[in-house]
Amino acid sequence: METVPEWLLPEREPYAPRPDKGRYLEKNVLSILGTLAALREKPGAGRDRELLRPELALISTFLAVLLVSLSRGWFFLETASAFEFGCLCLLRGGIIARVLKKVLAAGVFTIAIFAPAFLIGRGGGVPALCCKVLLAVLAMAIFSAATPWHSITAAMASLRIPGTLVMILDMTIKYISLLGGLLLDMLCALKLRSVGRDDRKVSSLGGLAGTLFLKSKDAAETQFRAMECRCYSGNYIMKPRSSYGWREAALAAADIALLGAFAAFGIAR
Amino acid sequence: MHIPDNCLSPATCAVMAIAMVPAWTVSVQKVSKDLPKEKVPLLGIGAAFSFLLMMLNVPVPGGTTAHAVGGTLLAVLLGPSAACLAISTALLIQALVFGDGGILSFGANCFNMAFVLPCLGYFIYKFAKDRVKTKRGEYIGLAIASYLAINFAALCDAIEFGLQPLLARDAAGLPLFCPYPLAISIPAMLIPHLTLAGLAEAAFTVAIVAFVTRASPGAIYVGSPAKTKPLYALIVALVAASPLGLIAAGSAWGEWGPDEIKDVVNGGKALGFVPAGMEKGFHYAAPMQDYGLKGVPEIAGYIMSAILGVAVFIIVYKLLSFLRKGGKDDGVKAGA
Repeated sequence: METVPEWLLPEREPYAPRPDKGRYLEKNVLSILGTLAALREKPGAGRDRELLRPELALISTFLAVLLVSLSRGWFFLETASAFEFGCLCLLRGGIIARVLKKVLAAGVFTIAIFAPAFLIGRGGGVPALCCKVLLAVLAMAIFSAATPWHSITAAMASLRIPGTLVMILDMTIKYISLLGGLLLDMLCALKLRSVGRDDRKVSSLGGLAGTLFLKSKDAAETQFRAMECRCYSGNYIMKPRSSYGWREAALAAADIALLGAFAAFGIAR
Repeated sequence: MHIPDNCLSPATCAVMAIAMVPAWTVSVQKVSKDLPKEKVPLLGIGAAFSFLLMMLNVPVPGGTTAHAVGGTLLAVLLGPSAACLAISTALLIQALVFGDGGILSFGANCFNMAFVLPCLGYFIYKFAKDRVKTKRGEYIGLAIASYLAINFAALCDAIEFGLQPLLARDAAGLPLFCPYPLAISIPAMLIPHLTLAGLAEAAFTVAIVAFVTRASPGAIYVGSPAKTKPLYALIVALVAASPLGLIAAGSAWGEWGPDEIKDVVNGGKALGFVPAGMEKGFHYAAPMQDYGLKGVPEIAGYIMSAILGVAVFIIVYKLLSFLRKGGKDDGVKAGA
């Protein structure tokens, strides 16, 4: 019977690497993983359909943020909260949790930034300001969570933004995911290959980002060839969209009500 | 450095967005003219690269990490116009999808990070590169360029914040948006950038450019030689804009004179007295105390101080370069 060779036995060369100090590597891996997960979790990464016509959703979001920012006094802020929470409650539970998590993080950050204003005697307007920041973040988070990727770029196109810019935006979103995956692989490779060689980890950061840049250039050339094969001639043409439905009508009515509330209470000093 | 919504007044946001329109237009025109059709995908992919770059954390002293914006880096790799468009796109996605930076303040964020940062960084880098012969000198120039550019962008950020209490107040006189005046916003923004963030940006930029130069030298953007005329135009513009310092509320933190310290508010209360050491201590009367001249209007005094300051710097620089050349001046013929 064959025996296991001596050099394969685990006791022969016990290897204990030096303890790792590359905490920043783990931090980078985690932050990139988080972003990629957020990108892939979005509706549209799967087969979710958009809830509303994206251009109307974008205009409504912009309107809400603008009116909240321009408003004076609490009554309009309460009206805007009702409008935004009304929109939020129409989303699925998981999405609501994600949106609220984002708003909560923004809230903590805003309070931390503005709290010292009380110390210098300028804290009078801070509660309203924090409320405005939260409402703006909430509006953006609802738009982001409820609108698929392809719809965001389609909304830009409907708003007469030049095709080249829409194409750049479209490509950016796709390549954040692709290049992000690549960066993640490189970080994992660096982590594995530098076990016991802590000193070299930080110095590899330039190489990591440099390689990412060279890969981006290669990807851009490959992308162009692929586009040319599909008859790209410098113009980015978008397909016409479907018509408006009852949801769009309801949102338009809510927008008009919000404008009315702003005219009545939002500009009072 | 990302400004969220409602920290700047809508009027400021509108002004900043309008200020960005010519920058975007020129960038698109320059990119369309210089960049061949096959390079168009590079803009989108460059924006993705910029987005990911802002996510890479660099370890800094104190056990924490900071991330670089990479504005100068992108300008060196892709060219300033492409960098402006790429960073603007990355900022748009950050605002729309990740809630990082507002949509109303998108123009202001683009002005600071997509216009001031890459353009100034690239200009200083080219200025240095065209004047030094060695690779080492070029990298030092790049480090200085990225360090100065991120700090100047942070200064723009601080000025936008600090002007809010002067621009938007309610009936009770309370600030409607950012409550911090210039005297607080400028040190608050600049201290972290002059120390950690600036150093991280410089180290990151040099490390990546050094790697790309070694691995693929042809990948670096080659622009035209830097022109010195815009630099002089910038200095003249800064001199003309120097009276803006007059609208800063009070002195900078820790820079109070004996006549000001009594009114300094801390914890909601004014100090109410002048510390004896300050009142009776040594007082040096500078010829241009507080950047002014006796009998001259304040604005004129400020501009004159700025001209004088710049002139002194240029004279010192010219004297030093004259001494470095061993006392020989190229422009003066012997015996003239």
